[in-house]
Amino acid sequence: MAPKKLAVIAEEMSIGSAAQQLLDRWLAGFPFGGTIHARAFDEVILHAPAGAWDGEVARRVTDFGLRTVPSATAAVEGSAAAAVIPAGSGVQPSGSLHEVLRCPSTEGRRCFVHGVLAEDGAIARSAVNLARSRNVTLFCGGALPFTWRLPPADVPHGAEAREVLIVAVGDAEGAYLAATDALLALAARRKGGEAGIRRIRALEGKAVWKAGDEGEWSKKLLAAALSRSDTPQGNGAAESRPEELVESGLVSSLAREPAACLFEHADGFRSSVLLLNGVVADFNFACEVVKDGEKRFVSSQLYRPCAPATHELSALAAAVNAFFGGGPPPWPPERSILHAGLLDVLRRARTRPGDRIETGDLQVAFSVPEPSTFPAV
Amino acid sequence: MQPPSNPSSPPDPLPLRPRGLTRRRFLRTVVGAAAAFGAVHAGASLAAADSSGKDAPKSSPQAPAEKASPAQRKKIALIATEVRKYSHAQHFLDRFLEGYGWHGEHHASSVELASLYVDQFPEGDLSRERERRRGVKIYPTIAEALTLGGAKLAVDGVVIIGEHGDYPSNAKGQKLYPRYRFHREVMKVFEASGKAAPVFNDKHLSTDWGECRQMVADASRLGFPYLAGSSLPVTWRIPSLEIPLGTPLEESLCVAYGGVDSYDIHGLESAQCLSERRAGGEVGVRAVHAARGARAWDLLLARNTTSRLLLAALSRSHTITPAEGYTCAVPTLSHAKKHCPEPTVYIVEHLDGFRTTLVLANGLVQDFNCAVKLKEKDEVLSCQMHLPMPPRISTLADFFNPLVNNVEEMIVTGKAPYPVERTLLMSGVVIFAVESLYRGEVRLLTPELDVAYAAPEASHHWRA
Repeated sequence: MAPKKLAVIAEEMSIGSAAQQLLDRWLAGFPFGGTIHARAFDEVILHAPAGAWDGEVARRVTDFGLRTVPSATAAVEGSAAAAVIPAGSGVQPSGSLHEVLRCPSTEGRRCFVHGVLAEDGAIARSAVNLARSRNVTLFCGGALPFTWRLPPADVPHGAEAREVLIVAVGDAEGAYLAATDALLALAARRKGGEAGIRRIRALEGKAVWKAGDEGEWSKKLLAAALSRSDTPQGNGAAESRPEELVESGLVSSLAREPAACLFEHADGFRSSVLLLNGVVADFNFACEVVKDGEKRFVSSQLYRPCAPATHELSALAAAVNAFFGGGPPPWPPERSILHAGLLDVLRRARTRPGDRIETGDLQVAFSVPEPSTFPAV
Repeated sequence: MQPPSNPSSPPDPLPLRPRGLTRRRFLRTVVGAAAAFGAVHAGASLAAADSSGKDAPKSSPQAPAEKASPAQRKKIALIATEVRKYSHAQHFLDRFLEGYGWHGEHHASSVELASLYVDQFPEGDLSRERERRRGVKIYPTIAEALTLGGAKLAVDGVVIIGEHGDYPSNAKGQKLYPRYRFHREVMKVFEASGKAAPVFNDKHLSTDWGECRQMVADASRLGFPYLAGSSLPVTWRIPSLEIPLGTPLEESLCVAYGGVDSYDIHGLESAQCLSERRAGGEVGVRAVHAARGARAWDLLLARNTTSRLLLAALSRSHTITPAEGYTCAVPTLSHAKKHCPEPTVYIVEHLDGFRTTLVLANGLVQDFNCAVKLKEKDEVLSCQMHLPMPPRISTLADFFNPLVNNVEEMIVTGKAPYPVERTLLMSGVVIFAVESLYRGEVRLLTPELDVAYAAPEASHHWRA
């Protein structure tokens, strides 16, 4: 029986990067769900740019029999599955994906892409079409939809939902990518599924708070989301003292260069990401749903375990392994088209803060399966 | 708890279902039942439910502490060793004064912090700033804090935080925190007033078994609700695991970090809050054996089940020290021995044959992870007791939120949500483990630890 091979195309490599973290899990296995996920492939073949990483590659060649090859095409040759891990932990769209999808040996295989599928919706759609034409099953996403939640809460599948808000932190590109990845996972569970996005508005500075005052995003949702944070700054950092952040007005005084993006969905659903560096240092969400005719909030922290292991990537690796093993992707490829498209429009919207940007071709509808993506065990 | 100043020296599922439950139903009970549909907001209560939105079994309610208007709130006194950033008393005091995140909102305390007694005022003291800014008076004696300067008990609850501060240690390395002294002062006021109030004691009761027994006996004698112990049993669990009450269990283990007579109580209570739910309930402890280094590894590896539980618990850790050049470790016994050549291990033999093992694995992990083997089944349950510990991964020690909320619940309802006997027994285990180490790592018979009790049906860990 021929050895089962996994091709890993990493467009950037450094210790701590998503590429290194995922590669190591595929090489060595990883603990997750109360057991050890053993290495799922007989051989892991890496194509990665040469550079400072070379010494670490050599270590993995010795320790785990990693094989390196000079091209993406060579990596996927004879492989049962492929993983494409773009630079910037998925922020930068892959330059290798189309090469991988066109490779003859990829036909009928499974392909995981970390982060965002492409630089815009049109290119993402072409990638999805190319994959379909070659019978390649795609799964594209990051770790945040798959990590643990504190508490383990989700939007009830099929629930009437009105609005979701995510508090994000970090550099804008990475924070918006991760937050919208989680946002789509939450929002698509609402009644009717995802209907697409009609308009996007980016806000900066005081305009963020003005929009909140005018009800364009919900302060109650912000308060619920922030109540899940373990990392309030201000007196939280200075004295480890908890304090109410929203009604007190502290959130606006603590925020450094606050920013937000507001999404109007085609069915009237609203979603928003508030980038609140200086207020907290973790990701938290809240969603307003209606259950039994009563308005309720679902809220939770999207827990990112500490470095160096950053075990949210174990949760993602477990999902990818299940996919490589023949399981269905956690969401349809249309979701990846929408994600790529909204991030592209958001980039443009951020150059015109305050303007409502019509999204045109982001009326991408899809539904997701009932099981939640975060770990139950 | 706070990070140990010197972790190397003393400072702090593969589920098995019980008979009669299908695997699916059992898994839903142990994990899914603890999952939460969402948060409570705007005063609307929401029953715990699984992620599909279906109602969870009624055996696992977690209602927030009853709310009262400011004028109706019951008054409490907080008795502290010291109040500085990251001291236990600071975490409690600030949550009573400022509120904390709970059930998806900022929860204002259900009780009013009416008075303070602070034993020491080190550099960095925060109690006087709290007194000035929030108007909570610091009294010079415990009696005055309880009587609010009057002649009789004038508060509805007492919170004793005898952790941290400059206190001497004895020859066995136990830090002689004044918990029993504080307790006695409180009892004197109760006795003089002819009435008592609910009392919470943070962490283990005392370093002396007789004093531990006396403290619990006082609660029975004077008839006040008594709650004690660690925040570990009530914090988040990853995953949100609970043992169905009455499940036949064989053995449990907690692998943690920290020191003897410090973090050991947290690890022991982590395991015990699961173990006490076994069929027959807790019946007491027959013997305690503690060891360090190579002898500790010998004890750990002497039994296959214990080794298996260690690996299962380690598989829940998010902090295993990786090999050089790597970031994520796959737990194996050889990896564990390499990175933790000098563990401290407590073997606890219960009177019904059940065993508990505590592993303080400094150098290997920096979190608390538990595993339990079910009896006559080849399956193991495991979870991490999640501590968002500042400053490493948080700014707030939010694992105190559920502990403070349980204290509030006791004071508001007049009922301790879980039995103080858990902490009494685990205090005894700590005392005898310290003694075992002091006497040369010998196995000690512990007829004194015949503490039997039944766990409550409801779960009390944080899950919504």
